[in-house]
Amino acid sequence: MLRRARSIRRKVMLVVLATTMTALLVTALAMLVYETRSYRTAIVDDLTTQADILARASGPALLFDDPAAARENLALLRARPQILAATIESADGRPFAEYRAPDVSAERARHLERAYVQGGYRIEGDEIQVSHPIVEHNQPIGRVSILARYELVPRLRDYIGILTAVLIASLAVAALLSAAFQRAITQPIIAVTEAAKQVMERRDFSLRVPKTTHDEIGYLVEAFNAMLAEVGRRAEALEQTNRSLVREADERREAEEALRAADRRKDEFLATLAHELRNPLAPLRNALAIQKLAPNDPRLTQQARDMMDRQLTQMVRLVDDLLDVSRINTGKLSLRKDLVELAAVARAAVDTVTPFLDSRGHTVEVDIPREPIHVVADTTRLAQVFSNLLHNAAKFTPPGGRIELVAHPRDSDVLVSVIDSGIGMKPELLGSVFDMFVQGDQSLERAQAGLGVGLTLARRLTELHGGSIEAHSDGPGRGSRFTVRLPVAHVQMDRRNAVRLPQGPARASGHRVLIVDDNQDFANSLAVILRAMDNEVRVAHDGAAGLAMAQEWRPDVGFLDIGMPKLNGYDLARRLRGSAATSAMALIAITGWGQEKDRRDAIAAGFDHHLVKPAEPDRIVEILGKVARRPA
Amino acid sequence: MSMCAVLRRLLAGAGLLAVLLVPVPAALAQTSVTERGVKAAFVYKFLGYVEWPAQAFARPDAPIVVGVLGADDIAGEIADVVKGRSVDGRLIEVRRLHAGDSLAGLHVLFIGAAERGRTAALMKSAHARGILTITENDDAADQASIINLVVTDGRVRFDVVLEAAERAGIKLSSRLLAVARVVRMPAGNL
Repeated sequence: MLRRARSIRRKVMLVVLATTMTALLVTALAMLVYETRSYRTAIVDDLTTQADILARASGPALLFDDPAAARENLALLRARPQILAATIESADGRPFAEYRAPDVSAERARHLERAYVQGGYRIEGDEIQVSHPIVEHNQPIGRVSILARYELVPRLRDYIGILTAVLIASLAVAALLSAAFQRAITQPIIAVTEAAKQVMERRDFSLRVPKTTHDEIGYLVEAFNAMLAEVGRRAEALEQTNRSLVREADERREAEEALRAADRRKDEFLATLAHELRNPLAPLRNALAIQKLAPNDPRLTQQARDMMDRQLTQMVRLVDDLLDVSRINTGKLSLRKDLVELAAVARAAVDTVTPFLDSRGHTVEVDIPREPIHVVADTTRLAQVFSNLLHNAAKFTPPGGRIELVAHPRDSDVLVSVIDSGIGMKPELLGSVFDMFVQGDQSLERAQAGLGVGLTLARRLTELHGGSIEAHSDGPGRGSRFTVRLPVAHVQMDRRNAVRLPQGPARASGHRVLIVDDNQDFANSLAVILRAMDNEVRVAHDGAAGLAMAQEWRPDVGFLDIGMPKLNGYDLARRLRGSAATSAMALIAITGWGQEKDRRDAIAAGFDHHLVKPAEPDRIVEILGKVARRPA
Repeated sequence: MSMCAVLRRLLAGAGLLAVLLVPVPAALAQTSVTERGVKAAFVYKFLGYVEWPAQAFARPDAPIVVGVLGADDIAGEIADVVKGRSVDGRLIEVRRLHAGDSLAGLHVLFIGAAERGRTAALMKSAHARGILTITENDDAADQASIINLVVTDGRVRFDVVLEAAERAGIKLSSRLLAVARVVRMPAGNL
């Protein structure tokens, strides 16, 4: 690139020098030709004049036959060193007088042609001969001939030498001038070239060539800069496109990997789910068998009932967790947030988990400051967070372990930690322990059951409360610590803003309760529970029968299934609300449809509450208690 | 030409002439006829370098009259030389004179060596008439004529006395004087 730029400089220089050289050569040639001619003319004229003078002066000498006088005339030629020899002859060619320059040989002097009759000149080599007639009284009486040096060649040589010197000097000056002037032309071109080279090498399209002239080269520079800008823009756009393509490809690959991982976890989860759902079935069946075999042994039947209760609780818990996760994942979980007291929520959570903790032989320590700490939370869900953490701690702590629940209030938030003395975690597990379906021990021989959704749920629920959760472990075998951070609500401790704490056992007796459900087992078992609570209970197994019974019997509470033959739960509720006799009933939907939409539909149809099967008896009792407080 | 130049030329001529110019002296030595012829030719050639007083010629084409006294042979030679020739458009007429003849009408008077004794008065008369006088005395010490022919080293030369020419009112070309052997200047001019 540079060499090419230099070559432009050299070309310009060559053009200038060639032009100068040509002009100088032509001039020199013309001068030489002119010099040749003028020299010859001058020397011929000079010698002719000389000869004429000699002829005039020597006429009388020739006429009066005085060679001495003639010789004396010729001898005057000594003053002219370039004249080699001269002769005077009479008209008949007889030599009359001769002259020879001191250093000229006779031999050379004889070069003088004696054949001249008329005047004239002749040039031979470096000698010139001039002959001139001697005329006296109009009579030609003789002739003067002069032989002189014809010094054209040395003269031309001198001339050529001078011209050569002038030529060289001129070329040098021309070269200097051209070097000075061509900078104006070549400098911008070289700048453009240099920029182009750098652009090629560095791919830097932000380079610009400074515009220094306003001629065609200046225009070229502008065009070049504009082109660079255009190329730069396009290259930038291309690169951006490329980058985004790469990013998209990366994202797609990551997404695919995430999908595959999720898919894998889901497969594992399904396997686990099947296993976990199946696990309680064997004890349940055993318990039923015990009750059939020994119906009259109160101790055995009590043991069987306890076992069934535990197993059912376990199953319900599993399914609840699943449903919650599903709700959260589909964005259908809504919180009913109230101002609640953290200690109460924590106690409720501990109470929930206590049976399991006891069964594992763990001891629990709850350390919550005496001063109330308020948070805005959905009591049930926040309790679920803590109970999940406690449950998790209990599961991964060998029997007889020690579990703590500690609250540390800070300025704007509170840290609630669940600390166990369990098997701990490897550091690499800490990051993913909250991911769905992730379990610490994935071997078939793992000691602890579970779907791996408990912690996921805890984290999601915490986040829904505007908090965060993190896990810590010093390593396998050194226990774990899960810490929930929740924002604290600072409230005036005013009675009117009193926190709605979970009620104790509600007044759930003395009601006339209608149960309408086509699942006879469920309907009958619920009836048994409610009757055990001193309620009057009737059961219908389809919507139409339920409606008729309600019209006739006028219960004050109705537990209605939604999916039923003849008349579905929504329509039944509308009918009941539409009838004066039953419009005041407390209506509770109890169904397998647990989505938020289902809940909304139920409320729209006239239900007061919406329970999802399998509803825990405690929850049913609580609802019943609320219903009771309604003004009739 | 000065006397110095004359002397120098003489000195130079002493060496060179003897060597180079052999043919003429040989001819002169052979026959006096040649010498007479040369002198006759000189007389004719002098005419071209002479300017007479204005009144010397009656007409522009009047002939130049050359009188010869005491040298008939010369007169004959001159007549031969000038036959059919002219000088400045004038023909040349040769008259043979005898002692006592009138000088009237003459432009040139040649006095032969035989008449040497009577020349002085004749010269005076001729010069008064504006005549170019030519003598041939080898002993030129007492020259009274304007031009005197001498033979030196076998070659015909001539001496000029300008004072005489002045007296005659005759002008001689300087180019002629350049080839004279000796030119005697008037006293005032030297």
